[in-house]
Amino acid sequence: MDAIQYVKDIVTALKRELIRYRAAVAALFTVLFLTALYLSLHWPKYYVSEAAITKDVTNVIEPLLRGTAEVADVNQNETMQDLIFSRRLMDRVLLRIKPEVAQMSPDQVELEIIEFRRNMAVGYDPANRNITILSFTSPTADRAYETLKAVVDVFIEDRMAEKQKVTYEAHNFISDQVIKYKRRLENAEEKLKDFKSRNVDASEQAVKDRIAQLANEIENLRIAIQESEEKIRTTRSQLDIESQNVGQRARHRTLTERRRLLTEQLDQLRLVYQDSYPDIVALKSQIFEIDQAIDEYKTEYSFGAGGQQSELPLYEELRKQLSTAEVDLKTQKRRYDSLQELLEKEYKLAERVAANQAELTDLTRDYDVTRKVYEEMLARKENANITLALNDEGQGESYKVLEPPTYPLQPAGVPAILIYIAAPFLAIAAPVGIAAIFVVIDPRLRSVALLSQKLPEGIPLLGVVPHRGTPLAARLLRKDIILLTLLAVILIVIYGYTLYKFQSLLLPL
Amino acid sequence: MRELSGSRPLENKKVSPVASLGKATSPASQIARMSEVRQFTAAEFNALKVVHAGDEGSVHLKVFRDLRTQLMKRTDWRNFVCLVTSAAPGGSSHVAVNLAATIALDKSKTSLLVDANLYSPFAELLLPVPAQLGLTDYLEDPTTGIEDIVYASGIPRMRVVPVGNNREGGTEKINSVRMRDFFTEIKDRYADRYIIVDAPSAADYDAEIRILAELCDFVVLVVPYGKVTETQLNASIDKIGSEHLAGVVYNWC
Repeated sequence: MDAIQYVKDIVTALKRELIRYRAAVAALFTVLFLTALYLSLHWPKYYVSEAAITKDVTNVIEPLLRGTAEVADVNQNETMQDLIFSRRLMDRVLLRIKPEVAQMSPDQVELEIIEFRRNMAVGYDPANRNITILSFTSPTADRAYETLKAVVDVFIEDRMAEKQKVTYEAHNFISDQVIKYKRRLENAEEKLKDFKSRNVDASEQAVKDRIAQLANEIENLRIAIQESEEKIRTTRSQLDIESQNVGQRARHRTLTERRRLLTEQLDQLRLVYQDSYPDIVALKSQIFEIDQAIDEYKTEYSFGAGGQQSELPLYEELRKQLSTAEVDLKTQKRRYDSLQELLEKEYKLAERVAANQAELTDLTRDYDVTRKVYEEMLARKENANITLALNDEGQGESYKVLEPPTYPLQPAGVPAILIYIAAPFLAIAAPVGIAAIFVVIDPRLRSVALLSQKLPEGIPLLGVVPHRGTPLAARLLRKDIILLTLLAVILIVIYGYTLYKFQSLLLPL
Repeated sequence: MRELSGSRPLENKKVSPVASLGKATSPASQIARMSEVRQFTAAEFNALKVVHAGDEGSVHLKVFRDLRTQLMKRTDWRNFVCLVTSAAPGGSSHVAVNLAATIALDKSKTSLLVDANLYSPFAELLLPVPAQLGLTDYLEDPTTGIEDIVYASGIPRMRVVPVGNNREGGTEKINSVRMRDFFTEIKDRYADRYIIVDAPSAADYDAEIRILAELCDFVVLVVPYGKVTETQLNASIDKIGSEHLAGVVYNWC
């Protein structure tokens, strides 16, 4: 389809339809024109006061408790809008700007609040979400300004009070915690002390040392016992040998004594008798025999001639030693037994000490943790004190009035003069628009372009006969035109007169 | 019927093209000697919205000349019977009259407008002198001859057959043998006479259109501005039959 041709056809059709329904078009135009004119004269004037509040997103309790405990952000979920439109704040604002609200019935108050809500707007600065723009719309500049001022004041006061409250709560909370932890710390301390007093000796290391010492002693003692036993055994065997020796020596001595007697006898005899005397001979042989026997001993036992004096004391000595050794052994054995007993006892003690140690560790840990938290809490409590002091002095506000409420000097919105100027255009736009919609939507063929597109295959479009206005039609049209011109003149006069008469209403001063 | 003002007293004179048949030697001289009534003034032409020689250069004249040429080409410049109907009431008479008038502009051709639009006749307006008989009278009364119903119009070289006074039972009349004979007769009598039949709207008068389409050589369908939807257009084309349809003319009215 030829788009340009189609548009041309539509414009032509539009013209045709407007001319065809000229009476209706004129009527609609007149009505709309006069309505718009009336509207421009009664155009509501309203004033908008604006203020900007910035929101400091940090809160008091969060830095106080950071790292120790997680706390919910106090104002995270409450937007300023919710706060300002909350019933609590609105009641206060209403009371401030209209003291008579206190005497009103609930229904009336409700109406006032609805009215207030409708005129109040809370938005955000598109450049900075933290800046909130408040605006209040009112028919008078004074009321717009005063209401917004009340809103801002009440809001800031409320936020201050709220923050104060939150800070106090945080402070109190921390104080409570500090006291609680102090009690716990004392408790832990007490327990630890008690335990320590109950288990004075109970040092694991000491027990261990003692066990080691005992074991060592026992070991030494065991060796000593072995030594003693060995000594006793040796002494005994020596004693045996020595007792044998003592018998031999006695025999030897007897022999020697006999020889000495015999020798004496011989010597006496020799004094009397010749050697050949039989007795002497006999004696000599006897001595000889004895010598032989002595030699035998001598060769057999070979004890020196000098040892003759010490033979008996050695034996005695040995016997003394033996008895001493035996006494020693007995003592050692008894000591060994008692040491063993002691060791057993120490082992038992060691077990008990290990159990005690576990308990002690437990108590100590409990104590340490409690102490750590307590100390931290104490530090934070100091912080809270400072914050509290800051708040008391009005420092560290979380809401600030960036721009106080403005006093509106000019009415907001579309000025009445614009409506006045736009009136004829608005009035003509409606019939033209309706006609255009009708022409486009109506399925009846109004366009050559459309027709040639819709024609079935093989059927040509032979021609397009243009509209031909007859002189008669022209005459009729002229009558219409006279009427229309008259109407136009009347409307123009009304238009001009309105501007002249209601200048003050239309033109902003 | 419209009264036309004129200084001359108007005779109710029937002009019979048959009467001068024997004397003529050439068609041109025959046409030149066609008896005429008072011709329309430019103002009358304009009031009737009919093209005339004085319109030279107008878009209207150009459009109808173009249409005339296309139709003549269809029959190789031989004369024809063309039915003009519309897809919705209105617009077809204007096209039919102007087409006939445009053909008659050619001095070597004549045209005959047969008003078969029994329900909203228009042809009488073209007669400076009121007619007494018409097509329906001819179909009703066998004693009436063709010469009795053919009238000279205010347009040179253009004859008109008005509807007449006997309009009851139009469908039956149109569907008669006499009607068929009438068409044969008027077409065959003069080789330079082009016959334009103004028919009622195809949307409302199915039967008439079907019969007339059969009788005529071809049909021109007029689509008036802002009255026909695509469906209605297609319905009309179906009634006429695409084999009879010469084409469509869009009329801005």
